[in-house]
Amino acid sequence: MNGGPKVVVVGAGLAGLTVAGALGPSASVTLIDRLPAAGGVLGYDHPAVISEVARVRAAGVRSLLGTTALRWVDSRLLVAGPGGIEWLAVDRLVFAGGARPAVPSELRLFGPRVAGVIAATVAVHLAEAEVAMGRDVCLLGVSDWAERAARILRHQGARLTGVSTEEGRPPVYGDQWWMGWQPVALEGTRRVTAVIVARGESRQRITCDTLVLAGDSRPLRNVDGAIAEGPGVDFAQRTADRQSIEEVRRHSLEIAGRIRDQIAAR
Amino acid sequence: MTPRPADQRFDVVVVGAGVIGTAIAARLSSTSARVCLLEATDDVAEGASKGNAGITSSYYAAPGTLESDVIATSYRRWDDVCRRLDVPFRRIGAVMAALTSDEADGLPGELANAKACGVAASIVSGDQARRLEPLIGPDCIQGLVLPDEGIIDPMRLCVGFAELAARNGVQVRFDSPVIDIESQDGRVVAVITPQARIETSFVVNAAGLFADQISELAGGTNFKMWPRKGEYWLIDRDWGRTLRHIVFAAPLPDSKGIHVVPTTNGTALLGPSVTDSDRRYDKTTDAEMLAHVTEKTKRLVPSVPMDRAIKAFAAIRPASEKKVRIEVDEVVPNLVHAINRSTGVSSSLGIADRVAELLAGAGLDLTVRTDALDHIPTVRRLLLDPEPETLAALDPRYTQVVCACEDVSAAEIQAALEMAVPARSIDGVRKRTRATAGRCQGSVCMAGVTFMCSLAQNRAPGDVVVTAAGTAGA
Ligand SMILES: Cc1cc2nc3c(=O)[nH]c(=O)nc-3n(C[C@H](O)[C@H](O)[C@H](O)COP(=O)(O)OP(=O)(O)OC[C@H]3O[C@@H](n4cnc5c(N)ncnc54)[C@H](O)[C@@H]3O)c2cc1C
Repeated sequence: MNGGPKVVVVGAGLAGLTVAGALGPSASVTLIDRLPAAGGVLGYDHPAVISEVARVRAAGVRSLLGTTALRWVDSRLLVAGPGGIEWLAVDRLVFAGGARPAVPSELRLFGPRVAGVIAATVAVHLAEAEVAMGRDVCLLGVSDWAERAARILRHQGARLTGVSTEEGRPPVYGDQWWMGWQPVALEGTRRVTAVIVARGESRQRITCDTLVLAGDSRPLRNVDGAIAEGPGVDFAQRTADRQSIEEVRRHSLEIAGRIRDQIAAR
Repeated sequence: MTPRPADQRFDVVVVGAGVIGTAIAARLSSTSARVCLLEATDDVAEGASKGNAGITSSYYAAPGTLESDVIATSYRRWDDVCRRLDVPFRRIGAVMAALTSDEADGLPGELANAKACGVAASIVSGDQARRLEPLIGPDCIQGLVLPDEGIIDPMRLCVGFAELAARNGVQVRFDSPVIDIESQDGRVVAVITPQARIETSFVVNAAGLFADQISELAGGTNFKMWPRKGEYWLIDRDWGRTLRHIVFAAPLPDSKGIHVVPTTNGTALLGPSVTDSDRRYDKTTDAEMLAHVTEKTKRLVPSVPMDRAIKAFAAIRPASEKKVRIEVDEVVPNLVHAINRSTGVSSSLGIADRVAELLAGAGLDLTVRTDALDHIPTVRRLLLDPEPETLAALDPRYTQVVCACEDVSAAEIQAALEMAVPARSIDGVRKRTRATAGRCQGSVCMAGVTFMCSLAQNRAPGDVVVTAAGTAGA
């Protein structure tokens, strides 16, 4: 445990762990995560997570797991967790909340309001709880989410059609892929029945009973006052749909280095 | 107080649990009348009352019209009513921004009309308008300021009305479409749903877009309803909360134009567009129309960040030859119509009073009850509470944040699942708490909300209803 400025890192995935571990020696660091375990999407038992957790411990970082950061106002951070709801005095906030799939409005995917359109993150959770998601599933995007969703939905016996705006070789999961096509509209009256994809002037109609949003990832932002860049806030979040563990670590260490330099300069 | 035992005979059956039907049910619940509220879908606010802008107008229609009358008898009461019904409301005022000299020429007429309606209003210069609302763009040359306009959470308003009604003994029945109406000697005697035959002395037709069908079933006046669709963009709270006033476009001859409207939860709405059609269930959004909305709003408020759009949606106004129809049917003396195309939220209190008068005039005994509740319990909200740090002591479930985008705790969701008119779907939870309605649109919390619904409703997660249109599972 160190003196120095108080830094809170929100998100104990690989990025947050790396930043917290790197800053531990030069600041008073608290690491927060909504979930009761560190690891984020990689999971608590991933080797990279296990070694970062050890580094974080050794660096004297305080952990507040099962705690949600809510809002950031005038160098105070409101958090809710097992310890109650409280304002922490914080000099600097590093938000490392991971990513989420783009939502329909971000994808400019229009059409009727139908059931059966679901984020991959949710589809995976529900499928793990034995909810039958659909027989004819359309996956939007090439990503880790798409792959996880594909694996579990395939296990449920679904037929999987993938759509990706990127050209190139289709992924190995999924029965069929439309590479280089842009989804533009949904069809259906109650439940989704099809997604319309476009490429230049041509349009194709892909029938499905479930549409899984799994691509074009966006940084997940949910701390009010720290949604966009601002004073005292840094973001350690991946932006590409796929990033290697090494890339995440390198990016996180860069951010930690920059913050450390700024702390030292004061 | 203890609710009345379930029965099949009522003084009044109200058809439709939109803002108008629920307002009427709440109004009648303070009287001796025995009331049943019938709704075809699985929740309140499933029709026009869900997707509207949530503006409580002070001035909207020409003076001397029925529409301006029912708005006038409503708009001053929102502060009090919303406090009692646990509904978010803020009287933030509006600026109508004229962008051309033609539009500016129309403002004095608007001012005179507003004044004739008894509404506070004044004309200001473009610079004064921008001082009042700094997000208004440089194209604004003159503005009409309407300080008494407010914003309300329209879904929570329906929930609040229905909850008060139910707690006062009104029977609220969902999944109960009126499919037939029995008449005798020119009067309605019973209303038929798939589950029940319900005898009644009066029927109030608050079926919105389907009000023509109810009138037809009752043998009443022949009129036609059609859908007038409006599409909106919803912009993130991070930008929305910097907008302090409603920004109206100057009205066109046939429509009120496209506006920029803050919501009570801090997001902002851009819209609505106007499309008449004949497809009553069509809530399709389309790229071209939304591009038009973007273009129009950019002129009013240029800084609106379209990359922060978290949702696009459509809602349907119940349009008819009469914009507002609040009257005893011309043929059937115990049928009362209560329909409003464009200002049903703003006028719901006034409409409910007028319907009560019409019913009393037609012979219904509306003795005021002394034991009726005038408020419902307030559920404190993590997002808006002025002292969030005190909530954990009240209920430890406030510390479990389920929806992190909108700061919705397990305590709030549980309250929504346990009220007298409880959430019966994920949409129902969303309407009551805003869980899943934030910028990630449920990507993170939808599964958690599904599991909470599953436990509260004692059904498998796959059978949890997401929207009226279907379940999570296929
Ligand atoms: C885009 C848009 C923006 C708007 N903005 C505003 C605004 O800012 N301020 C404002 O004051 N107003 C606004 N309005 C208007 C307002 O939304 C409507 O006037 C109001 O919601 C109408 O309420 P209602 O209860 O009549 O209709 P609805 O909410 O449509 O309710 C009718 C109900 O009747 C039920 N029903 C139908 N048939 C049957 C049957 N046979 N049996 C049982 N139940 C049945 C339906 O399921 C529905 O729930 C807007 C409307 C739109 C579309």
